[in-house]
Amino acid sequence: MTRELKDYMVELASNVDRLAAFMKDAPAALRDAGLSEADQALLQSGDQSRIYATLRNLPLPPAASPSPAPQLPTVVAAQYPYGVPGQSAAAAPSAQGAYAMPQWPAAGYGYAQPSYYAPPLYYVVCPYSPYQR
Amino acid sequence: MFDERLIVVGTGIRTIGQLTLETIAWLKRADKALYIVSDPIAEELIKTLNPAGAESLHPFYADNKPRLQTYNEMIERTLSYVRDGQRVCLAAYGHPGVFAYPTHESVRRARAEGFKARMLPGISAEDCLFADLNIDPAMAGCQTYEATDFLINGRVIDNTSNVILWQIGVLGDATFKSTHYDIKGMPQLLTKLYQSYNPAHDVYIYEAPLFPGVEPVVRKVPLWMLPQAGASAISTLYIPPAAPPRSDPGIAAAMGFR
Repeated sequence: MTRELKDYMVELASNVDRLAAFMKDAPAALRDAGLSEADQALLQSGDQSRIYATLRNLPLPPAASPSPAPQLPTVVAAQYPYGVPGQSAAAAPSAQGAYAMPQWPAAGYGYAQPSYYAPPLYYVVCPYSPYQR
Repeated sequence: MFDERLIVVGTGIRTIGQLTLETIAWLKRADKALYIVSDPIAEELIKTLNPAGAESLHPFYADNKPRLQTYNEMIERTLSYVRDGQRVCLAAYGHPGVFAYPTHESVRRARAEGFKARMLPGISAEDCLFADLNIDPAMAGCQTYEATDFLINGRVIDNTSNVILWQIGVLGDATFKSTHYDIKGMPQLLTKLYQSYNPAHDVYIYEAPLFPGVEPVVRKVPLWMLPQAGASAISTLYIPPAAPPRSDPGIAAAMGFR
């Protein structure tokens, strides 16, 4: 990474004129900022892992495959309190209680977080009680 | 006015575009600009704004160290500067008051010791979720819980409302891990959710983007597939309503609704 990439992104975070120019015409703004072609391509790639790794001087992960379109929910409960016309609503739990439990997958439940990012969590359960006595 | 000894600010999830002017001004004005961020742009910006006073609190984290211990050390470091007569700005990513213990507790303790302290709002992951998933908490209501708290404290779900579970990828783990969290509470979480939802009910893994031009992660899976959905420490679980609201016709009529 060139030092200019990080400096440019810091400017985007604090200089509204720079940000507006970037939003209006990103390729031109990046060229005008004097960024290398590699940095220009990186910043326009939409590849979060590689941008993060570059900024942290970490080994670059493989390029991400094009991300699938977001699968957006359709929350209809408020507009159609009795269900969407022509669609059958998902069944709610019966009066007898919960659904039957399927088999657990054989694999363990450990999740690896993205290799590039270890978020500094700020919350752990029950450090204090917010209940007012 | 503007004479706080401790000011707590948020850098947003995506620093570029979500950092407020007031936050920038406080970071610049403070004697000490303490920060708990991992976004390299936020970190660099804070160092640029306040080269003499910038200090990362990230070194307090350590693998397998209880996070509560880390948080208490962060609070103590923050207050030590306040007691020393310095004007302190404490910056956290997201909203500094949403799912953030050391920030809130620093303000509480500073006030208890007689120092003027204030928190400014920021943009949280939940704010990003509302925008990216195009849902309004006013529609059907919204219940928000930290995932482990939801499990161990007997929280009750209303499956006619939106439900958001934070920190789904660190479920049951009270320590810090730099690479891999063991979410040992997942079977118990599914057991509890099955009391309110059909296993085929679609749920969403959500991750807000950190940089401009990056799309959010929005991954739809049926509930029973949740353990395989690839949630990480930055993932939030969104569960849409599963049933229509249970209206009370008597009250609605009394209030004039038809």
